[in-house]
Amino acid sequence: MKVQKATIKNFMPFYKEVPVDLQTSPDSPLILMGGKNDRGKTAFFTAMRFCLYGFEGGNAEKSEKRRQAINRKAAVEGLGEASVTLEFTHNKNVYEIERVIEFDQVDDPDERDWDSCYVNVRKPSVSEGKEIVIDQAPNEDPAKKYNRFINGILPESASDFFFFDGEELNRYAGSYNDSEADVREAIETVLGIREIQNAIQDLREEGKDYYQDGWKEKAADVDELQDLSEEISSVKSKLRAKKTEKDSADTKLGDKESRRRQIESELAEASGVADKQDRVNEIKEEIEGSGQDDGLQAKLDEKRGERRELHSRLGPLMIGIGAKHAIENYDVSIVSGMEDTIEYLIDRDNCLCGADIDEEAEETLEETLEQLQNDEMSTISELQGFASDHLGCLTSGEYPESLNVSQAKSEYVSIQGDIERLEEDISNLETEKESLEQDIEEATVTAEEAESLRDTKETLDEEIGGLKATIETLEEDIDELEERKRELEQTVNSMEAADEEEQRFRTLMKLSDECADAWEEIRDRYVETQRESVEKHASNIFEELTNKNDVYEGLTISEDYELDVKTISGNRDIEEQNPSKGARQIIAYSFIAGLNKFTAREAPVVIDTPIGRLDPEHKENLISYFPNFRDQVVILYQPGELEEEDIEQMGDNISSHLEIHQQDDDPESSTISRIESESELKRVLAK
Amino acid sequence: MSSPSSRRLKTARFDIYRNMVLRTARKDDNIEVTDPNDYPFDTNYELFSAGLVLGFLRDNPRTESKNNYSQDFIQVSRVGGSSDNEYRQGIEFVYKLIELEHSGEDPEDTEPWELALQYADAGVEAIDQDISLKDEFDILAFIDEADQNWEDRLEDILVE
Repeated sequence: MKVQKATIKNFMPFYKEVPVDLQTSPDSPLILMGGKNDRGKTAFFTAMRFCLYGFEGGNAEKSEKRRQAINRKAAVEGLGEASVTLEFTHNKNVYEIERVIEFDQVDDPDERDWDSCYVNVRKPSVSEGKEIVIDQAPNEDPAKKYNRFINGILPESASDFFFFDGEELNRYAGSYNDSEADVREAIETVLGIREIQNAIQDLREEGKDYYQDGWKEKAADVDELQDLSEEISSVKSKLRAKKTEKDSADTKLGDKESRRRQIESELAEASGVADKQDRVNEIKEEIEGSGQDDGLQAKLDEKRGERRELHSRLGPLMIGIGAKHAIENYDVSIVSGMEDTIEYLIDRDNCLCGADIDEEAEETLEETLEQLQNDEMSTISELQGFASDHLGCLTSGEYPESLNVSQAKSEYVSIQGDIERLEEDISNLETEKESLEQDIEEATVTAEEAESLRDTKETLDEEIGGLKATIETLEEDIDELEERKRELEQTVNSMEAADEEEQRFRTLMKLSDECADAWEEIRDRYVETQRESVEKHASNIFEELTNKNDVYEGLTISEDYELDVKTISGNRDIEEQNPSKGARQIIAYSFIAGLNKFTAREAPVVIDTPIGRLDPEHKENLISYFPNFRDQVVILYQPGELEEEDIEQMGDNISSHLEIHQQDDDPESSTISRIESESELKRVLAK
Repeated sequence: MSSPSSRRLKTARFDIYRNMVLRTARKDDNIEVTDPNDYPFDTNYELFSAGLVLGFLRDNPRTESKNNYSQDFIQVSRVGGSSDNEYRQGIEFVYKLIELEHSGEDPEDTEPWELALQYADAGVEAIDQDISLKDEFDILAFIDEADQNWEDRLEDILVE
């Protein structure tokens, strides 16, 4: 940090806005600022520290300091705010820090009080003027944000070696008590050791905590992962159990369905037996008849009876044919009639036709009668009588008088046809019946068994229904478990990354520890190196500044940064040495200069009351050394500390020489201006 | 001429009667009648009349039956009972023809009724043989035979 400009406004004795040009050049690092007591040297010194760090102390102390920092005149005039602004460069960037105390107007300056206090950090922007780097935005604690910013430039603990009062340096020249532990911290900070220490601490604590948090978070995931794995195992176990249960149910179902098919087959067979038995009964009924209906057998018997009757009448039928021939072919009956007629006519004179019957006619009639009455003719006639009787008997029954063979044959053929048809029908039915009866006989299922089978089938139906319902439930359970397993496996797959993260955090924790160990080693070596370097440089400066080069050989710095004076007779504790106050101041300057030489920080050195009570030799030595302190050294001196020859000694090393003085003799309105004339210089230097 | 009362139906082939006549079969202890229809004839005279007319038409009397008749069946006059009967009338008609055919011969040489018995046995044998041959009682064949032979047979007897 190299301060370019300070602007003090209504702050302490500075009334309204007081700009102070603090630019220096490499050859002229010194800025002298002189002023009488109570003009504002310490106020300027305080303003610079206030701007960078605010006020020190607790809240009440801070509050009081803020109140007192308000310029009394500005408070009465109600100018609204007191502020200090520093414009500086750092790492090639330009920043502007503005710390503001807002206040209300008061009638009595002793009643002045602050309303609010804040700090703004800005840097120039090409397009829009100044860009606010740190403001009062509520999204982050501005104090933390600012601390991070200023610690990156010059931590407050290190500022004591850059902003110090020359008369108070004695504290560095001696042992540090417990209350001065901050001195060690300041020394370590300014040397950059504190940053290493902080880094180590970060690695050990913050980094470790961070990684541990991550690790714990991921470890929690790992625990969850473990839980999930156990749940997956549980789900898989349940799944296996369910599948086993389902397999068992499937097997049972298969067995029962197989058994049911078998029973259905047996029932079908039983049903077939019943049907066959029904058919057998039908056939029996058809053959044997039932009730009023004659069966085929009865019809057959009837027809066979009719045929048998014809058989038994074979003789009469055959004789009847002959009898008919005997009657039809031989006219014996006419002869018989003629005999009666002739006997009637022989005793008469006239014929039936009226003709006379003479003797000749009577003789003819008598000869004819004699011929008709011989034995043969009588026999034929007798034969025809038998034939006629036979035909009479034959046709008294079923046959007409005109018996003919074809009629008998036709009747017989009809009867025979009926018999053959009936016999064939009966035979077919008997064959069918025998076949059916054989089937029935061979059938293994009885009616009782069929009933039992039906009961068994009903039971099986219920059991199969129950098993199907069970299987359906099991399948639903299995589906749910499969889905749950998939979900868990997907979760586990996604969490395996968490496991990897956990491993990464574990590695980072280990690395953090190892890194901290490494940095501790580095720090120890660095501390030793820096201590030796500071010690060497401080010894050189001390030799340059001391007026007892014949006694002092240099300074030694202990591991606790405590200073010892190295004399020609050996190392001697400062307390034991008990040097003068001036000697202590020189020892402290040497130490601070040594620190500044090896500091890791870049900042201006602002020294209030630089000379104090130093004797002329020490003063001369110190003034000679001031330009070597830093690139920018602001020396706030009071009258009597420096003289004209001292100013001349610094000569071209001075960039600007400023005076703090009252405006219009108003003790509540100091200002700072460049010394332009010999008279102004004399006025500043005058005691 | 023998009177109807002296003429008795009888046979030398009773064995055939036993197989073809139901009542005869039933009287035989050695025969178990299961189906009456297995027997074409109910009485002996029924078969006798059929054998008689068939034997007469064929004019081939079974002479070896003479003096070998087993037993009498019934008198001709009692066939069919007291009323007119086609079997009795038929037998009388055939017997009358036999008498006519042999009226000029010595009765001792040719006794008409004896000839009728021989005709009957010959006819019964023929029926039995036909049944054995055809395995059925083919009465149509016998009727056809009668239809074909009666006219010539009557002419042989009556015209001559």
